[in-house]
Amino acid sequence: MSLKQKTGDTIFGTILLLPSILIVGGFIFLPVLQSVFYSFYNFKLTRRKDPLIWNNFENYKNLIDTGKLQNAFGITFKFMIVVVVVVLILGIIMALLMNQGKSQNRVKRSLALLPWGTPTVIVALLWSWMFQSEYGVVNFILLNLHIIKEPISFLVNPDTAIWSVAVAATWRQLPFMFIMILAGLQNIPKEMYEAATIDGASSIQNFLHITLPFLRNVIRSSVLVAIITNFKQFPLFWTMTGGGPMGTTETLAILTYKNAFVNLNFGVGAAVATAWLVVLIIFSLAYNKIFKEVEY
Amino acid sequence: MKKIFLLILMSLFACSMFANGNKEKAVSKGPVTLKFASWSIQEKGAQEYFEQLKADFEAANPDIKIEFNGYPYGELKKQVLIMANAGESPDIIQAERSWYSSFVTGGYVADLTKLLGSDYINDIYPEILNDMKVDGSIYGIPWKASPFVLFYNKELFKKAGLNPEVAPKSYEEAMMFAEKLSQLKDADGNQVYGLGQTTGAVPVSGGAVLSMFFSHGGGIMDASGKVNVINDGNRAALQTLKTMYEKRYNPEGAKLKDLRNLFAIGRLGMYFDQLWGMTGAYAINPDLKSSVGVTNPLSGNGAKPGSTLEAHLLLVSEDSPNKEAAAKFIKFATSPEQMSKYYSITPFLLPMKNQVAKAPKYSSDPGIVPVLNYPETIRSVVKNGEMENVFLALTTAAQAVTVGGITIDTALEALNTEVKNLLKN
Repeated sequence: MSLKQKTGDTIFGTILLLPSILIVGGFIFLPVLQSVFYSFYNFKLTRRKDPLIWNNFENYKNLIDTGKLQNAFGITFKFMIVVVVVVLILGIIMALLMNQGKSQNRVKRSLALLPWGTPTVIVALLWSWMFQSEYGVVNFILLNLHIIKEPISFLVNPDTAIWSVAVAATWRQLPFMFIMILAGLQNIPKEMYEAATIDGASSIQNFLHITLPFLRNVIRSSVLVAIITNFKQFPLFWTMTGGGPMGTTETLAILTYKNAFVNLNFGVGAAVATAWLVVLIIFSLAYNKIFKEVEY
Repeated sequence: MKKIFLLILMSLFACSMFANGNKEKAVSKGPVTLKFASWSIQEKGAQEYFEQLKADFEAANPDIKIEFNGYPYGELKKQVLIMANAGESPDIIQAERSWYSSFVTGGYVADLTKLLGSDYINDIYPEILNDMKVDGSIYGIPWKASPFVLFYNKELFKKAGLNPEVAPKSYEEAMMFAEKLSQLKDADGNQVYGLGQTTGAVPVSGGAVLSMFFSHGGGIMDASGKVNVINDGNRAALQTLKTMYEKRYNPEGAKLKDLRNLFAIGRLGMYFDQLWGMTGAYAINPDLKSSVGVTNPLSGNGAKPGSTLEAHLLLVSEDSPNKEAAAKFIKFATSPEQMSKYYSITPFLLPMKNQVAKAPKYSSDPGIVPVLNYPETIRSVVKNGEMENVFLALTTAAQAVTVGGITIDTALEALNTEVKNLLKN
């Protein structure tokens, strides 16, 4: 290929790609770059007369010195790990129970999907009411079963607030995990189990050596989706606790929102978002490296 | 290829850096249209009043038209700031008192001192005027005013064996009343709370907590104007809050709307709120009207009762090309005649002497008489753009000593650090 022809192909290829580059660049990369840029500047909407000034990493320093960034990372990871583990275990159990091939299971499967179809904000409002100390059904049941003597303010107490949100998140996300794993289960060849049973394998051995390895790819993808969903979980926290009490549910998403859209301090908001972006990229790369896709 | 891709991205990025709106607003000739950003105009019960206000003003000033821009309460401040940064400021802004410092220190609102004139300004009660002053200038006019008053349910007082015509005067007395009230049960067997104090994580609750500090002789600044929250008054206030929590007089972490709900359904004997807060309780239970008593902020620890000023303000945008017309509208809307009409649809306290003098019904209203001297309880707070965050820090301290189980001294230490950091003082 001559040099002239090669240059012509490059230009033609660039022209073909230009609309996509402009759209992706303009709507995805550009806002991300702009956010990173602002994170190094004093950029507050509440101070109109202030020019955009480089503030010598002050946004990051302030977040670290006050401990807010570390606190938010800790809460986010704690919440994410607990919810993902619980959702995964419950999802596998539900999928195994529903993978029996009985006709009535179709109705059960459809019903089990209902929480997944409910908007997250509605889920948050629903659970807020259920956890309410004065009128909530959770307290009503616990009081009537004599499990507690006095109503508990689940969303106001620092010891229970994050776990109450975790319950709502689990309820909302379980159907997704369950349906993904069920689909994975239905793709495992029956012959594998028949052969193992003839060889004298127990149910536990079947599960550990056939079911789990075959589900590896499904679990890998579903868990990654669950990790990202819970890492950036916003509507449940904002609606149920607003980051309180005493900052015990102030996740990275809440910290970003509070700074950028409540305090209108876009510099600090961008700093939180940038720190969060970097960690999530590293986490995703490490996750994909550790849990490599396996072909059967 | 990579270089071309990067070049395109960098060009887009560079262009966006200069894409901020920077247009100068042209001064229009002919009839002036004033844009009024407000949340109250969206409230069902007030719409008729606002339409009439607009009609009356336009009839009196044919060269000025009013355009209402309604926003939800929680969105208004953000929307106004976004519009101002885009060069599209409304001319007149309704603002919550807790937003005042942000608007003023951010440079978004106009100095009204000369625009409104000294006769008008000096008619505002001095204590309220003092709270509005920033370096000797006034940037906002109080429209509706109130301290954190104490509401009490006379029916519950009777049931608890208390005299329904005698309101508590001090926190110590209120705690004794709360002890008796909290022994009561409602028809479903649920406990009645004795004394409600909002501590929810919203700025208005922080104002209520600061008022409690004031009433116990505390505050956030010392005599030299430096931040210092570690004092006996604040300690006493937090101890009162802690006792209220431990004895279950106060629902945990409640927002004002929660307290209003509980008060409306007869599950709360007494609670602190802005005067107009009772509108929400009456909407739930109209029968409540005959059994509600009200009194001024209480004294605690032997200190003089105090409260932050709770108010809805009228501000004029710094960018407005029609400041004179906006000032004219503010004067009209706050005239004794208009305020008497407004007061008849929602309870609040009048912030100007002339308004009170020309509203005889107001001065004899049994729901107002006990709090007519409210300006004496108003304490000025520091004007700083971070005050809303200071209010949130105050709610965190209140939660820390109650549901958080943290000692009062530790909570005050943390609050001191936080407030110093916020106010850079």
